[in-house]
Amino acid sequence: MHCRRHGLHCVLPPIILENIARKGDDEQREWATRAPSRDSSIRLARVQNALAGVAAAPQRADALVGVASPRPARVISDAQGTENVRGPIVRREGEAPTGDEATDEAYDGLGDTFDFWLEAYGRNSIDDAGMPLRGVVHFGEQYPNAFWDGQRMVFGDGDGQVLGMMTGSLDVIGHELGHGVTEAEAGLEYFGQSGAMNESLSDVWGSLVKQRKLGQDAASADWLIGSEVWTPNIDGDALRSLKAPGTAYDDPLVGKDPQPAHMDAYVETIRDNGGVHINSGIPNHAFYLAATAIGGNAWEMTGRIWYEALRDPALRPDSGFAAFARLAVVAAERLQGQRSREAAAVRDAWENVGVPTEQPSLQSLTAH
Amino acid sequence: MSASRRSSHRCNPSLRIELTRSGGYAGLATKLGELDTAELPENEARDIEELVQSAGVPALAKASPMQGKGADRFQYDLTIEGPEGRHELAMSEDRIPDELRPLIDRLKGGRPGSDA
Repeated sequence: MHCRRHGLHCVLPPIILENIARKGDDEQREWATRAPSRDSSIRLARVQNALAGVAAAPQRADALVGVASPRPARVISDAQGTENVRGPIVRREGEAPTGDEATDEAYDGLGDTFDFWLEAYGRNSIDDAGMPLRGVVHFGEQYPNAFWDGQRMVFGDGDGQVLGMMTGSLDVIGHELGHGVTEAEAGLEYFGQSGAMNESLSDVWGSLVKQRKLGQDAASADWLIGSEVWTPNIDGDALRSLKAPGTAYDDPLVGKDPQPAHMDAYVETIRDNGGVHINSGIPNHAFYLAATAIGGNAWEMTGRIWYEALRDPALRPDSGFAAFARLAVVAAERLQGQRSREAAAVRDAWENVGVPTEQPSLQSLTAH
Repeated sequence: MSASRRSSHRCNPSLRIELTRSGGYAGLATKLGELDTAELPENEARDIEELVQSAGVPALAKASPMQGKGADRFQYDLTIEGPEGRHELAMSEDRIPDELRPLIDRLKGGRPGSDA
């Protein structure tokens, strides 16, 4: 269950590296501060910066303001119905539309998502260092899925019976790129509760990319995920609803939306990586509750709070809902003040889905 | 329950096998196929039993869940129930062991008398 994606910091959690860096002798210190550089996770650099007394908040993209605005570097390749993600490149950054719907939707959607991260949070691409955005279209044969493979966003054409073209929903593209951001930051393990938190963050970013593109505030947004991907055969509004988890679809062929909105209904299962697309309904609904209570454009204050929590070095690969919730409260207090209505709204949102936010014990910081 | 069993010719009791796909971006659980060797012609049933035998299912069950990279990949859930008990294998679509592929392809395609 451990050490699948990340290297050393999985074996040696940041807290241990931190202790060595603080208390070890010179040789140990040198090793501890150098070791994580083998890992691609930029948040380890932040742990080290925090150790060195450097403020965690400034970001590379902010530092570039006034120099040159970062630009996306999109590369779309065509798997041509195979499962080869290294097919021919069909559109590069700055090139004209190809006329192929999936190619052009992926190109545009990745551009909208890049703009979202840069303009809302000053983040320069997936790794905050201008990583090229690699998209793969026409993956597989009637493949009804989209995924993040650790390096690129991959889109199938759908089976045509249940699910259509995956590039048709902007929030799908925002969701997949969001997995890259989560992997670069907290590296939340894609299983069980940490996996459901990872999933929820991608739904949140996917929703916010769409809301920002459409100019919708928290009150006017539909809070639906994947509202364009069902075929007309299926009786459903969308794949998921942050506003009302469990109500997005109800159809004889695919069944009913299984998402819970509260910890009381948390689903234990081995399927779906331990129910990551099921239990994500709980933190999804917490975000919705916080965003509608705080009001305004959800990507501005509430999204910023969630983003700060994701970037907090205390969020670990095995962190669950309660750890994230606590860090979201801390972020809201840091940004708006301990007694602010925003901090209260975040606390209430998590309490209302059954996730405690009071000062946690060590055990409750990790999910099992 | 097993009127169609042809066990008089074989010493192995039947195997019941089910394949479900779960996860993926949409998070839908879809049953891809199922079979009961007791309901198959004898040569097909024997092929399936050999596939299961040679795959080393108990060892694979210990390695389960076999998780992939990234996020939103499909997961295959394979349940095999026979005289030696019930095994549940969970694997990411990018981590399907080679030794299970013929069985999974057989369950997905439902193609009788495959060249396995």
